[in-house]
Amino acid sequence: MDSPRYPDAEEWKSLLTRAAQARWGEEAASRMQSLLERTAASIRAVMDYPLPGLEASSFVLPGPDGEER
Amino acid sequence: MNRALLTMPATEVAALIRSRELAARDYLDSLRARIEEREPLLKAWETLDLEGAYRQAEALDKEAASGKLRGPLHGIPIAAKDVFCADGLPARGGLAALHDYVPDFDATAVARLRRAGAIVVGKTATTQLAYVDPAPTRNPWNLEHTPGGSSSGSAAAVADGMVPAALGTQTAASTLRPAAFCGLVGLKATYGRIGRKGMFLLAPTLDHVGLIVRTVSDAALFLSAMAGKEEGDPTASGRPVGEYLSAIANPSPPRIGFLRGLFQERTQPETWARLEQSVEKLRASGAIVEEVPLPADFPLILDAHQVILVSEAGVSHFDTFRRHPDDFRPQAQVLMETSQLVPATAYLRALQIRRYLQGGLGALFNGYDLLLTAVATGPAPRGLEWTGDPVCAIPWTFLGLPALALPMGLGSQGLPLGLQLIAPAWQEERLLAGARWCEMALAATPDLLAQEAHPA
Repeated sequence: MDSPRYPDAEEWKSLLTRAAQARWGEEAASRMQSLLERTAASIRAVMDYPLPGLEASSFVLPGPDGEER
Repeated sequence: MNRALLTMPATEVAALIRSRELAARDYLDSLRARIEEREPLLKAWETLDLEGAYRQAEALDKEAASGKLRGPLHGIPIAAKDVFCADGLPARGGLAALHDYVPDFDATAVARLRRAGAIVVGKTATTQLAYVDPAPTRNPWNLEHTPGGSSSGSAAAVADGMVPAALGTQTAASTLRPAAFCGLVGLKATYGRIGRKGMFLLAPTLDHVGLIVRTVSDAALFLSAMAGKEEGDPTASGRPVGEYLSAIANPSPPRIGFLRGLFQERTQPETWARLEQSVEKLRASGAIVEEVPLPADFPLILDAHQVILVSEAGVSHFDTFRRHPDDFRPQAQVLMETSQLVPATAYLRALQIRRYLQGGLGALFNGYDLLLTAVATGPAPRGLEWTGDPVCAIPWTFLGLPALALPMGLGSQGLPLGLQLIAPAWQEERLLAGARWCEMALAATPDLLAQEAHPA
C-alpha cells in the first residue's frame, strides 16, 4: 500500500474554507479567510512534523496534581 | 496629590505603610486624584470601586495602628484585569452577555493578594475574552498608541501611576507585551505556579496569570503572595514555592544565552539595535552573554500554539457563543467559528509536539542561567486597532516557562522598549535574581511622571 498522502497547506485551506462555507455560510467564510489561512498553514506544519515514535504514540495531559502524565 | 508616591515601587510604599509613615488612606487619596485626572483620557478601567477601596484602606489603617499587619502587601492598592473574579465587582471579560454577572467570590490570585493585605481598587479593561478585539485603552506615554493587550488597562493603569501593580493574563503575549509597551516589568511564572480558579480562560493549557509592576523587586513581592497549590485547581502545582525576595537580595552577574533567529528577523531594526546595546551594557557590567543558536524546528512552536489556541478557545466559550453570538466582536467571532473546524487530530498532534519540544528545548539553557531576547517586535504601534505582534512571547507561553519583561529605556519616538528574560521551568528564583541584576546594570526604567514634570 502506498503511504497515505496528507493535505498540503493549500488543500487544508480549501478544506477549511469549504467547511466554513457549509457550517457558517458564504459571508462568514469570507470574514474568516485570514484566520482560516493562518490556521490551515499551522495545521499542515503540525501534521507534517516528524515526531519520534515514542512521542507520537503517547498522550500527555495534566494529572490531578497539575503535573503532566 | 503626592506625585512622588505615584510611581514609587510597591515594595517602598509597603515599607512606608508598615512603618506607619504613610497611611493607606492617604496613599489612596493620591491614586484617586491621579485616576480622576487621567482616566477620562486613558480609559484603563472597566469598573472602579473607590468607595470599597476606601473602606478597605480605613480598616487596614486601623489594624496597622493596633500593630496588626495582614501581610507584606498591607495597604497596597491593586487592579485586576476584568477576567478575574473579585467579590462584589462585575466580571465581564469584554462580553455583554456577562453584563450582570457579579461574582460573590475572589479568584485565587485576587484572594491571595487580599490575604496579603492588598486593596482591590477595581477591574481593568481587556481585549474581548483576552483575545485581540481591542479595549478602548490608550498608552499613557502617547495617547495615539495602543498600550498593548490583552492586559491593556492593567498596563496603562500601572504606567500612569493609578495603582502600583495589576493582575493580567497571558495566553500568547498579553502580559509581557503591554508591560514592555508601557515601560514596566511584566512577569509570567511557570504554567501551574499560580492558581487560576476564578479566572476566565481562553485556552486552558496556554493561559497564565500575569503580573504588571514597576520593578523586579515588586514582581518578587507579589509572586511570593500568589504562588502555590490551590485546592480545587488541578492545574496549580504543589511544587515548593521559592524564596523570591531572598533570591533578589544580592544577585550575582548571570550567565545569559542570547537568542537571535526568528526574534531578530521579526523585530524592527531600531528595537533590535537597542537590545544589542543593552546586551553590551550587561557584558560590560560583568554578565556573561553568549549567543545560543535556535534549532531549525523552533518556528514550529508558532504553528502548534496557533492550533492549540484556536481549538481550546472554541471549547472555553462554546456555550456562551452558542447563546449570544452577537455579543462576540469580529475577531472573537471568527475565532469561535474557526475553532469548530480544526481537526481533533491536529490539536492532539500539537499537544504531542509541545511535550516533545518542552523536553528538547531545555538544552537551550545548558550552561546558562537565563535566556534573553526581544519581548516585542518594536515599540507600541500607533492606533488602537491592533495591540501588537505577539511572536516574541509566544514560545515561552507555549512551553510554560517563566518569562519576564524588563524595561530598556525609551526609543526615538519617546515610547518605552523592553527586553525579555526566560528561565527553565519552576526557576522563578533564578529568573528574578537575574532580572534584578540586569535591572540594576541597565538602570533604564522610564518614569512617566518624571517625564511629565521635565519633558525632553
